[in-house]
Amino acid sequence: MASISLKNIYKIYPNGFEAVKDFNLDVEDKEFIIFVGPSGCGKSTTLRMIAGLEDISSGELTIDGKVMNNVEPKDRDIAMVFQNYALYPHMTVYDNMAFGLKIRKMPKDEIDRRVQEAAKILDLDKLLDRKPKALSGGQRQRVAMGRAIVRNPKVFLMDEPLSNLDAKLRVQMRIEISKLHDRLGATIIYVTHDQTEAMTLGTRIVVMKDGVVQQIDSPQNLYNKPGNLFVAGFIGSPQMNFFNAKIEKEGDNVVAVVGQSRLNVPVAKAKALTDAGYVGKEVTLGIRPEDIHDSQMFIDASPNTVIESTIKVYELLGAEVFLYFDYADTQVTARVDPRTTAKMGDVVKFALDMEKAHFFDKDSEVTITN
Amino acid sequence: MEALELLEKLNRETGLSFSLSKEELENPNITSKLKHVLSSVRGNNDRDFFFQQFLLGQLTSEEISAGRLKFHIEKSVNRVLFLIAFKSPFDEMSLSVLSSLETGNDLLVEMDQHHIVLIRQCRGVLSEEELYKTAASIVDALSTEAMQAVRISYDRMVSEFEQLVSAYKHAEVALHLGVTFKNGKQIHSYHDLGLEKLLYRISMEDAKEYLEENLPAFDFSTLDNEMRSTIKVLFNNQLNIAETAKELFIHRNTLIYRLDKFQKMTGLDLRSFDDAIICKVAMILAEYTK
Repeated sequence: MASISLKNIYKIYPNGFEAVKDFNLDVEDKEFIIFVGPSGCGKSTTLRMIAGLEDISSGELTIDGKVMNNVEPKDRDIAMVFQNYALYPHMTVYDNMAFGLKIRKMPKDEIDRRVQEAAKILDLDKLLDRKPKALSGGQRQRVAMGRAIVRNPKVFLMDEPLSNLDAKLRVQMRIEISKLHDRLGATIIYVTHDQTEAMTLGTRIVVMKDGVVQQIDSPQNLYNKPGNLFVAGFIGSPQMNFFNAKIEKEGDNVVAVVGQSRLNVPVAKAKALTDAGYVGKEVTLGIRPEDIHDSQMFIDASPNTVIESTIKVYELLGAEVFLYFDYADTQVTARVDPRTTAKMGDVVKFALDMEKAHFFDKDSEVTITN
Repeated sequence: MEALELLEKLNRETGLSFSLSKEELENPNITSKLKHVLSSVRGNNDRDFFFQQFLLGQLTSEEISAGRLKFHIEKSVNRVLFLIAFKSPFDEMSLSVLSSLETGNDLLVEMDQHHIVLIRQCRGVLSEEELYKTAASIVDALSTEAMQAVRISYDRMVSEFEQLVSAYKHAEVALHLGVTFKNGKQIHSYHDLGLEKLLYRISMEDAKEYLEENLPAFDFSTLDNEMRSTIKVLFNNQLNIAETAKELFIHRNTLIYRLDKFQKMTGLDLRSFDDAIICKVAMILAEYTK
């Protein structure tokens, strides 16, 4: 397998539009890297540049230390699985998997060995004589994976390979891909717009927006220590709640003024805000839905972080309840215990776990403290 | 040089080779004679040649009818035409992939070294979504199996054989406009081009005049990516602020701040339908007049 390095990569179209700007990343051998971001953020363009399907405007791409900028896609030793994979309808599963090797004139016995091996890994060995129309959606997806695996490439590039599957199958295939990564020990770069897919699959995630890398980190760090407002809002479902807040001194304490509430800021965060000169200034306060509590025990323990509002929507999801309400011109979501007694129309008190609050600069949107 | 290409084709197909002087190669009469020779050599059984001439609109209706009868082509059947443009000259691998994707009644026509037309016969009527999916699966198959970078364009389905000529023309226009207006997109539907399709027909002078009248002191190329994507998403969401903020993963106030900033730069308030239309047209014309 292989290591990949992208240094100062740009993609600029003839009309001057910069689809990817100064992209830097070192992918280690056997790593599972995810590119995630909203539609049009440049993640697929970057993947296509690695594949050689898109020219690199400037910067350097190396695979195993060898510069690849001007190497033809077929000579890069990569295999791709894309969203709109099409199986050859008149061929069996075996022939579908063997096709790419046949057109590259590989000896028959080598083709057979590789197809049998891949079929075993993908649990397709009993389906090799079937035609695509006799397969389920998940089985077809596995055949598409098989076509990439038989190539035995240095790098797998996957662009939204699960997007065309229904939600249930997507979850199932996510697990399959994760297992596959372990079994193959392969270097995989995987593009998705789905942050749940990104969080569950990747060892490291590259979050992109408007062609610019926002943060490269582990799933856990992206969730707990987002580098800016965009990452904080993009990672996590339901989304993080954001309030306009003013930072003020109150005796020895620092408070965040949100609407009518004066929320006590914990010591470490207060120090970071003070040291960076934010006292007296407006900031954005972020708090995740699970860090907003309606239990009396929490409210009693944290009386200086309480807000009050009327429940607009109550959503029971089985293991949890989402409560939606407005506070300080913001639509807020709280994720609470299903045993809550709150109902639609109730006026409810909530305590914010300010230890888990995030503060962002209002203009640059960069994190001040997590 | 066209004559040189024709000589190469003649050599490939017959083994005959001629050497011509530079002047002869540039002589249109010689080029025309070479075409005639090639056409005669190919004879009456060259289905590919018939389709090439047909799609390029170079056959009379009598010749089309004669060809249709000769090659047993049904007149009234649903068909969709895909024009595939290869970044590098296509190879045998690409042809193998395309042939293997066929569902029974596909026809491949090699227009030149970079362009292949795929005509697919369909039993029923394909929806816009199905047409897009078919196009996307062709692109993905060529990318993943033949490792070829391609773009593809298409028009709506046609039910009469003769309509394929206009379908080809529309696919050519879609490809051209797609390259101009849709950065990085590989799939272009003539039907989806909307305003671009209309605006590219106006003269360059009129386009420049429109920009000068409506945005005299503003250059769209100075817009940063963040503002571009904000405007794009706002338009896609029919100017709905809440939906746009949600799709951009930003706070509603951040979006309003950006729109105010744009209004200061251009005088256009994108929350107003009239100003949004002026902006949309101006953005297309700015690309076009570059």
